[in-house]
Amino acid sequence: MPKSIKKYDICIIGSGAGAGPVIYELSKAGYSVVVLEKGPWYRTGDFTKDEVTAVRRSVYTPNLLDERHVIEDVDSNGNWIGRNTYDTGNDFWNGNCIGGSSNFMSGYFQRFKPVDFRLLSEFGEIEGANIVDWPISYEEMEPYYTKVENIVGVSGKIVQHKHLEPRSTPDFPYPPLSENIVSSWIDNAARKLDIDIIPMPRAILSQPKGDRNACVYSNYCGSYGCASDAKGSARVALIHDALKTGNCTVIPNAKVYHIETDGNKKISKAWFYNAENKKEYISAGIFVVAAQASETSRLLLMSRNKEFPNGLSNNHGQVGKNFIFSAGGVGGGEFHINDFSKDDWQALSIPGVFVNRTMHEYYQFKDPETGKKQKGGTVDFLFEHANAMTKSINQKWDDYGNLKYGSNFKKMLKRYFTGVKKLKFEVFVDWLPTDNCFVSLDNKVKDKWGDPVAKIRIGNHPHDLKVGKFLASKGEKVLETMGAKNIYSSISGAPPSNLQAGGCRFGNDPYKSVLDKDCKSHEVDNLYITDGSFMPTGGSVTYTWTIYANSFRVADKILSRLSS
Amino acid sequence: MKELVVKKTHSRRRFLTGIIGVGIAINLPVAYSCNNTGDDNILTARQKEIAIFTMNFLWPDDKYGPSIKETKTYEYLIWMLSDKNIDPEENQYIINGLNWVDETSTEDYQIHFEKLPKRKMYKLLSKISNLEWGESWLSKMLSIVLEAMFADPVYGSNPNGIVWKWFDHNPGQPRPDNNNKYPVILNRKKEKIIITSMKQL
Repeated sequence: MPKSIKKYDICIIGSGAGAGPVIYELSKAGYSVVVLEKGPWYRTGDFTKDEVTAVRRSVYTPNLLDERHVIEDVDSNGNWIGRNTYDTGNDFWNGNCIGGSSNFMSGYFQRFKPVDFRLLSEFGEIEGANIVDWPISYEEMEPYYTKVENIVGVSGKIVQHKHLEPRSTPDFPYPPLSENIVSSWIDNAARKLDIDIIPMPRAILSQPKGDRNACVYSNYCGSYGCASDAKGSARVALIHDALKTGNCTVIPNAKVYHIETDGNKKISKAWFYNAENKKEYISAGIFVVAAQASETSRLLLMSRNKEFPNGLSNNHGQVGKNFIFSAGGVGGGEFHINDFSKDDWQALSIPGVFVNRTMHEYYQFKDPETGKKQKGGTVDFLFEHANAMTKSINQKWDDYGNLKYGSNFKKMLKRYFTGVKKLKFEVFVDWLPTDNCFVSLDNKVKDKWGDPVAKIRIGNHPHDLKVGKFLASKGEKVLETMGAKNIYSSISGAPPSNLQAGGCRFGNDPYKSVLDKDCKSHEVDNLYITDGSFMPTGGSVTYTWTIYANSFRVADKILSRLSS
Repeated sequence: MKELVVKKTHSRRRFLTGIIGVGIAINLPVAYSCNNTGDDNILTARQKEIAIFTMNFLWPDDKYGPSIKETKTYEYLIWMLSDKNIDPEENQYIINGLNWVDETSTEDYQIHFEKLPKRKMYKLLSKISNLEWGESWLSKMLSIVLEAMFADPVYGSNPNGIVWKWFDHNPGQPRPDNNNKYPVILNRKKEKIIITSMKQL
């Protein structure tokens, strides 16, 4: 028999960046909060710099034998073909544990800019894209960006530039992290090219904060959990403090599979499988879903009943629609030991210290062909990841796709590890929302509990590639100016699975959006969604800071509602 | 970070293609045609010999850097093959490949692989590296070699970090220990707990 647990004021499904601020604020305000997280609780002591655990095995993510996705892409004949990720090996999961993927982010933290809140008004329509303005302005979000800087902890340095977003404080609360000598070389290149390349803010503490230590420069940041608690994951920055209030209950290994309504379009229960795969439920007054965008849409679509035959909050068919990713791509170039003095090479090779530079020159630009104002994006600079297994495995194919091995391969690998430093860049531009990018339920593939998995169609708009290529050429120019060799870039329509949003966009029209401007469901009075699902458009930087800020904003709305 | 997770770089489609290419091999039992058992009870003596030779083919003991033997790469392979958390199809693919190598030997030379002179062993592996299934399987074996080479010594390979030292590689701190290494850490996924206080953590 299913087991019921006491009724809480608020039940939050998920525990990552979208969930953390609500958990933190509601617990601190004295409300009883329960968190259902499908993954386990990894403690800080569990996080080591072990590539086997962090990268080579399914530890922080589900085993694809048990849980997978179906990804729909266009084949060479122009037909949409769904392939499940177990067959392709193209894992679409991110961090499944307390704190979610915020544990494993690199913490590149940049605010959206005012124009990102009014993309349609600023730049006009683009054929084939469902561009809309946000129902709120940057000014409404700004206090919450500032709140994240202080509570989660953001380090960096403000420099004036033409696209600097308005701020209510002069600078970040934590000074910049230590930098590699290459950062100054990038600055020199920027001066030569007369472009804005600015210090990259990071959600990583450069100084201790409460129980959290400052960064220890371990050299293994992205993809790895933080062993010093310097990285601003929802787990250490928010949920730890929520637990200290005594008002917060966290249930790990609790996979929610159905949200039940009471016949009056209000949620009464969230049903989940516990660690022993037995069914339980939680009752609460208010429910917040923040399971990461694709899983949030999936859960709503799975929660069908008489009131919502097409899925919870989906009587207008909007759930899962206008799914977006971060568009763009990557590039890089190499520095070779023979081109440098011994001192410079030693400085370049110091492990752990950061590059932390981002190009904002082309956040908006004039289209060279039409002369029209265009939305552009950012280019972030970083070293190749220190992961030795991945780094070496990436070297095993030659330029013609042939396998390299034997004594020559050993010599090449030794040279690569000891005589080459690769400086990379990542291009971030808008992934325009279209009718060909959405989440639905697959009608054949099930997870280990027998529930349908999310099917994600990943169609992109050609405009994204055009802007991406423009930005990549600018990134290449910087590397060229620095004297890098073997410069390359690759812009494609392949989505980064860790940078996903949309599917439950917010807006004022219930026929064209799932959520209202407070991220409350248009159709279900006690349902809020606070992960990246709410975003109608996704800006041209990583999402996490905006997800955190919006979740703090929604927490205030929920608190106002509860207090009245 | 756009290249956040770069895992499982092989494509399952790619090695399934290999299976189809060889045809009959998919139906062979793990023990294949040899009744001798290797000293690890995971591979037969013949499979063991082919595995070790193949790894030395990919990463030769040419006195330039640590060898397969010094780095205990074969022991790492056995640890992987005995890991019940890895997709059984992936591990079976590795074993199938060992069998396919021997099958190719009996087809080309009418004797088992381990009976071949070394020169012909190299010739045979060079030949299969030009076949689609062969290149795919050798690529998988090379990934395992590199994984073993750079793994933390807590997993039994790369003793005293000899590979890290040779490559002048900084492994990062903290390193795993017996309490938080894989697969011990997977036990967290089975914890049935309700956490209401930091004292529980």
